[in-house]
Amino acid sequence: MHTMQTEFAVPNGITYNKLLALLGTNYRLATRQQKKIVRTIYDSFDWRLYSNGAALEMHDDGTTRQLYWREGRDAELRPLFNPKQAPGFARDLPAGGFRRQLEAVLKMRELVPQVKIDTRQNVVNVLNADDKTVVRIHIDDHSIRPPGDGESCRIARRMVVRAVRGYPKPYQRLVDFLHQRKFVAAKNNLLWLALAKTGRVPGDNSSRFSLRLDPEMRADLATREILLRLLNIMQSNEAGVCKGTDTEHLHDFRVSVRRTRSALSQIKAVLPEAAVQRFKTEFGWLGQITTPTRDLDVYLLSFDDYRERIPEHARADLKPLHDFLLAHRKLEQASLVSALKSARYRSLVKDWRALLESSPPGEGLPANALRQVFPLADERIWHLYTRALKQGRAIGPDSPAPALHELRKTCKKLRYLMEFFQSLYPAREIRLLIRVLKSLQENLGQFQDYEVQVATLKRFSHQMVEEGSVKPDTLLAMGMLIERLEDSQTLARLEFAERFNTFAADQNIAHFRKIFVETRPVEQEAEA
Amino acid sequence: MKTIAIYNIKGGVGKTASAVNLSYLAAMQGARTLIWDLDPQAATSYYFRVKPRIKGGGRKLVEGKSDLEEAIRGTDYEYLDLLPADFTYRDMDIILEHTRHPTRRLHKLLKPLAENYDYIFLDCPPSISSASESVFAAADVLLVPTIPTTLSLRTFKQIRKFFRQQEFGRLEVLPFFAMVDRRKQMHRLIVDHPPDFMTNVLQTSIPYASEVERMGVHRAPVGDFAPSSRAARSYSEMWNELGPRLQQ
Repeated sequence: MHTMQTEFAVPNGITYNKLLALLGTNYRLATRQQKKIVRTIYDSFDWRLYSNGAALEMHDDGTTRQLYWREGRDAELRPLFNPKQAPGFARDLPAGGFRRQLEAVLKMRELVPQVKIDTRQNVVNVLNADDKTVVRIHIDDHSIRPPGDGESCRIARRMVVRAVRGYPKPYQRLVDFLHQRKFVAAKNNLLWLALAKTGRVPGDNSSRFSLRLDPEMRADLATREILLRLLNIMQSNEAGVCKGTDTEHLHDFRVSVRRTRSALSQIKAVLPEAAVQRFKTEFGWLGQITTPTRDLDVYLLSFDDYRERIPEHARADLKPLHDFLLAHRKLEQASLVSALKSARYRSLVKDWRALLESSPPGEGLPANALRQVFPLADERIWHLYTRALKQGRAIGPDSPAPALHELRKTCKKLRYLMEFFQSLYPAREIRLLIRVLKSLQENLGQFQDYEVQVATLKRFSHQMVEEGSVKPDTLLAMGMLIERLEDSQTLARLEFAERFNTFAADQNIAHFRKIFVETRPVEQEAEA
Repeated sequence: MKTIAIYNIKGGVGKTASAVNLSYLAAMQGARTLIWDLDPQAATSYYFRVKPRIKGGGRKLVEGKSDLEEAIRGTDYEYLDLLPADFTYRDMDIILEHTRHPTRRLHKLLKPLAENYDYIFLDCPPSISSASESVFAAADVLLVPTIPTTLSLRTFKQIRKFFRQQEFGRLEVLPFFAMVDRRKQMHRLIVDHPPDFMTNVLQTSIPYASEVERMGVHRAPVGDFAPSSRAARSYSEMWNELGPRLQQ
């Protein structure tokens, strides 16, 4: 169902009454009472809808709330339904095609208000000889504000001319009439304008790591930039972690913590040693305090998959496990929030930022501080790559799980370094090598996840017995689940050899060597 | 999408007024609403100032040979569209007889509209025929306006009996009292103590009111030109009562 409409920017100085007088010369008009509408534009924290060309808006005129959906950048805003509450997760929407469409894009992410637009709307209907409305005109005055305490700003008045279904000719005549009177169609849709006015850039709070480095840059300055970017990602997720509803905030927060720890240990002798030691401990602490909540998130996010893994008749018996996970997650989340409000955390981020934003001292710098970043990156990446090859080659069919875990940790460190320094290398080639590494990491990740899940589910079953009267059927269902997870772990283990052989294939080794050893420039001291 | 048919064998019981006012209220709450004027007398089309004519004729539309979406017209109210009447609807039984599954025909025609509308109201002509059966098969809810008089109750009993004999699966029959004149003792008695066979009767009844008659002068729902009138308030209460039942 497509409604034809044209949006005009009304030139400054043309008041509502002047517009009515102008239209009144050629048309019979009926005016309706002015409405105040608050439009809230929803997206995930990382703008997944916008990235897919879509937009979700809620219009509230004080009496009714209506959700609207825009499918493509230039598509019409289409009414959906009256929501009972503000949109949150896709799973909370009424079942149907729209929910499936949103779930595919948002996955586990929550919708949050990104921009608010206050609109004073005057509706003017164009009537035919029968006094029937044949074209609708909305004359809108918009003020745009970011959510929270942001200041609002006005944009030029807009006039939206909308066809009434089944009456295309009067609409076309009115649009032509306005064009003849030098009215120009508005170029940008309201969301784009709102973003431009509020200085927001969709994706400005993305947790994806991307940073452009100059190859000749000093290693210590490049490292500070990398770490500062990670700190910004971490802090941009802080509020979301404390709110605790969208689990991706904690995930992204933890990834930044891990990356920071990796950078501190792998990019050696570029920052003052005393600071490195202090912050290694502090970021280690951050890793620890965030683990219990994240673990429980993972089990809760996997719960549907867990249910699917066991026979249908036993699925309902897992409900107490779900309740147990929810209850413990609530407790762990409360201690996490309290840790993030603590003086220790506050001074950690304050001191860390102060260090990263300060200028390095003029003398007494660590050994690698003044080197160019490019050869240092080469060295560190090649070092970790060869370590991964060595560890992987030592793994045989009977090697214990910890050997695979060690290789997994090395691969993670390697991946982080490749991503930190990605901009120093030819884009296509480094992307290819990251893909090769990623394929091995996926297998190692699966293997380790099953290992941990099996151990934790066994621990949970004991805990559930200690905490109350868990029914035998629930323990049996958990036993079945553990068996299925062990089966999947065995499959992942069998697949390891093939994945590693690809990773360590001659052509890939040659490729890694070409990128990280053979093209290494003759080293010169970097300029400040 | 929920399909609500407003139906009675009897004429002049307030079917069209109810269909027009309830569909208007649904649209005012932002629900995407379509009203199909199935009555060749075309009163609903008249109220909404739309010409009672389907391009190519009603027969082609019902037979699926012309595009139903092309025939839909926007009304004066946002979110409320109308599928106008056509004089050929007087032969609806004959038209349906020429289709492959007459009883399922309307259901099949409406099915593709599910993505575009939250509610479809069917304003039915007064009769009981194969066309009515097609309506029953297409609707989720059958609203039966009933005047609180002995003859009207007798008619409702006939409808009830018909539904007991036939099988219309999911259809929920909801009678309500319309054109109630509380000055009349019989009206008061019946509304306050509905007979046992009137199960599921809606709590809200619609008064006999001059505003409803004036809809023909204003050519608009009462909620538009007399929003604080007794009739407008009653329709509003009825929609508030119906809304949650339709969500179930």
